Amino acid sequence: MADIVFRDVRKCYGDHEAIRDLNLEIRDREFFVILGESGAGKTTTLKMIAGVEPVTSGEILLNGRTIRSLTPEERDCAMVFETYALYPHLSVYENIAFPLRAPKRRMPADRIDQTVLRVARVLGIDRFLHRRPAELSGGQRQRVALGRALVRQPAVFLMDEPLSHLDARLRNEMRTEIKAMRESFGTTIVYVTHDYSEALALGDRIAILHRGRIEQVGTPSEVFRRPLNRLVAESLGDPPMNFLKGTITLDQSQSVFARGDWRIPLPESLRLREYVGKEIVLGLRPQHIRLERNRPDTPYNLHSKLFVQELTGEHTVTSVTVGDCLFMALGKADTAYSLDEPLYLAWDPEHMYLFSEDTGEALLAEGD
Amino acid sequence: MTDHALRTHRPDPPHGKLPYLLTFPALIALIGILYPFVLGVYYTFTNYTLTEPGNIQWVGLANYVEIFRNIDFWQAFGLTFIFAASVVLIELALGLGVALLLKDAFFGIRILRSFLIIPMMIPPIVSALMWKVILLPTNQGVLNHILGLAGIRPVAWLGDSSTALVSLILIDVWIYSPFAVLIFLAGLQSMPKEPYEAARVDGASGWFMFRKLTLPLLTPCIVLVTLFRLIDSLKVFDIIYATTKGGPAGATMTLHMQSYFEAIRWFRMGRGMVYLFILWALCFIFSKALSRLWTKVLMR
Amino acid sequence: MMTSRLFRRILKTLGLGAYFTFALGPVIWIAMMSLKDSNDVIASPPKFVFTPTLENYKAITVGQHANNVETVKPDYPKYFLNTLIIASATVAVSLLLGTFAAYSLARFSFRFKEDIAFTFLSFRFAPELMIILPLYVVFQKTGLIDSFSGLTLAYQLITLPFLIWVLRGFFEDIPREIEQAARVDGYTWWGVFRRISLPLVKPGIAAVVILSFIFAWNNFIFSMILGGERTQTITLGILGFIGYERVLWGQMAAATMICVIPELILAFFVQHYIIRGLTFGAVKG
Repeated sequence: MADIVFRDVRKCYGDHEAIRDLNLEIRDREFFVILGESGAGKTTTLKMIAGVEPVTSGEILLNGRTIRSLTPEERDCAMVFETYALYPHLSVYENIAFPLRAPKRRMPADRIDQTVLRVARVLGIDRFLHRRPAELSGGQRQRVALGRALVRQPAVFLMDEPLSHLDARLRNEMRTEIKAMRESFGTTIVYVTHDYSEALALGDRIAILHRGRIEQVGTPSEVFRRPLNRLVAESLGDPPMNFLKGTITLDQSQSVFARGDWRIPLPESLRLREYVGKEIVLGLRPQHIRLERNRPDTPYNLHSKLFVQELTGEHTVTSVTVGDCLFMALGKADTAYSLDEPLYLAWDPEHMYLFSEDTGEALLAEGD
Repeated sequence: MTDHALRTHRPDPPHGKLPYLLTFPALIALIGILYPFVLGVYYTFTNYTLTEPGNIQWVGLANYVEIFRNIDFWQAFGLTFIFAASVVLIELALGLGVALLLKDAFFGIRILRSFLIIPMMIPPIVSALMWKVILLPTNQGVLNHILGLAGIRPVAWLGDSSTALVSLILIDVWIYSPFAVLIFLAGLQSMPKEPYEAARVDGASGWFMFRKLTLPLLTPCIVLVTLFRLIDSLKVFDIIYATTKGGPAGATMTLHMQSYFEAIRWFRMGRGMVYLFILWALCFIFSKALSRLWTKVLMR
Repeated sequence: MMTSRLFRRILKTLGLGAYFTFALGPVIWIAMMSLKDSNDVIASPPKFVFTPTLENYKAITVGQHANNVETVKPDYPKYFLNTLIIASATVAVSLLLGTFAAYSLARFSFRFKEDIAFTFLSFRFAPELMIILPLYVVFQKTGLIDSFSGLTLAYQLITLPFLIWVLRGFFEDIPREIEQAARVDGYTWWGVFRRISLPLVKPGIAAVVILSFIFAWNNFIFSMILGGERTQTITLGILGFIGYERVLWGQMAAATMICVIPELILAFFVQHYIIRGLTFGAVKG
């Protein structure tokens, strides 16, 4: 059991600042997901917890105590590396048994054997325990890397993209497996991924990391429904949120989103007043957009032209041009539109997001 | 919070003194080597003579002045450079040529490549002796005998001051050209194929491709061969010692060889060390310059 | 078009043939000489066809009947043994000192690291006598002249910088994350070094051990100046067959063969790494 606190943590590689002012609290037994694109500093964050990358400044606390002076082997973390980091000269069996053979654990041979076999069976790699990592496929290697962490009962599990190299079917299977296993772990898990759906599905809470800075921390529904800024909104969802630039004007004391001839009334709220006359970005998730052939009788609509339509199994992704912007809408697979047809986008006001153009900060989000 | 704060905040707890501890033994060995070096530099300012070890007197720059005024030094200096330049140029050209031939040899490239190791792995002094036998003057030497079959009169090779240096260059090329071949071969084999295919599609000629693609891509190899061969040939010793010992009539008296005679044969340690110090400085400057060039070429 | 291609092919083959005759001819000639009897070896013009004999090999290994009365005990086996002792001890010491230094230079960052590394390298490019002559003075004062321990120390100059630089490259080739994973798995740096890093550079260690052994074996100038009667090495011994008072071509050739064949066999095992070794790790090939 463990809780982890980051206090003003910075990490520099030479002149490059990989992590800046990281302040974070990961609770005991929490499944904590760090989401971010590559280069955001996710792996560095995990390695700082594990103790294999030194912290440039700031503190990391484990159960309230600083771990600066603790060596990696004293920190009792288990880590799954994105590069697998398997030991090439050892068999799969020995790779998985390696942490159990560490001097401080001194596990008897028969217990090592039991543990390795149990984990290997769960991961479906018990058939190639005698092979070397070089003889395995990418997915098999990833499972060995996972196995090497799962044989242990550490204070913290650190998982760096543990599912990224598996094929789609296996990934879903393993995702369910991890979700089921976490109950029995009873430990804190810090899980790094670039896949938002993985983050939403697994995490108790999610931190969105962008260029070394935390953008938002919250439960999956919090970050999905109430993104604090445009970056967070953009990184959750596929196809991503659509954005449209405009300004806020006052129309008979009613604030209105204006772009060209379009006028979209905005729900009244105090925060909007200071933005009057300023550049603003309107955000709409593809799944919240309805496509209609006739002008809908709601003010929340935009006129558009069909650009391209793609079928993705159950859904259709319809790309339309709104002025000079490309919008995507997610719809049922049954409707097909023709190119010269007029198309209207319509949505409910509570699904509308507004962000400041300058700072990207959210002004108005769903449920506010 | 400044630079200082940053540095003290880089704990990396397990290490600390460890790296120094690990390099320490090797460093001690290094100091064991540095000490004689410093001692040697000190000797250049003394009249140290091996026959009178008790009588070492500081003479300042006297040794240097004497040597710079001495025609023998300048002759050795020039010879050293002629030898080094010839050896480097010939080995570069031969190495590249043979590597190009080997690259698309249609049989046994692996076996041929293994054969190339042989000259490099034989002690240079022994290789030189082998060549001394082959280059024997008169018809007793096998090279003269073979040339005689083609109607060429016997050459004294190492025994004649006009051919001695050429003979030494030949020996050096025999020992070290495989080194150049192997480096160029490694360079050629690691080269990307796409630019060549593209150039061929564009109708480029073989010579054009060699000049515009192969040579630029081989620049790191060229620098590397030059670095190693230039320095080693500046300080050539073994093969001269085994064959001419600087003769005949000083025709092969390089700086390294000259220093040996000064210090060991004529007991003038102080003067011998001056020769060596100058040679060392040359080697140091060239190695530093070429290794810097090499890293620069790699970065590009 | 066809003929010109064929012509070029023939030309290329001839070029290669010429070079390899040049490269291998002398070795073959010496091998032949080593099998000639004392008359054939000095024949002028030289003989290409002769009755091979092992006389020379016998003379330098077990001895030969001089004046049909007494057997002269040859010195060559002693030289061989001396060289074996010095080269093995040198490599052992270098490996002991150098492995840790190489690992440290490869893995840790610390102050003066690159300066230390370059200082090691710079000895590769220094004229040997620059160090050996003053060392000679030191050795004379300390009684290390003509001693095995003294030569082993001095030979470090040949093998230690080489070993450190090349091995450093091999250590750097190990992905850092593999070592990090082992740390996380509960091992100290020493445990990681022993169980992960060291096994992974085994081929590299084999290569540097063999190559530094060969370099030590081949050395001449160190043993000439710092050695003596007691510690005389094989290269000096071979040189001794051709002196002012005697010229024994045949025995010299046989001695050369005995000196060279073991190291060539060793070299073939690590031929893949030879260029990497000779360039101090600059070419990975």
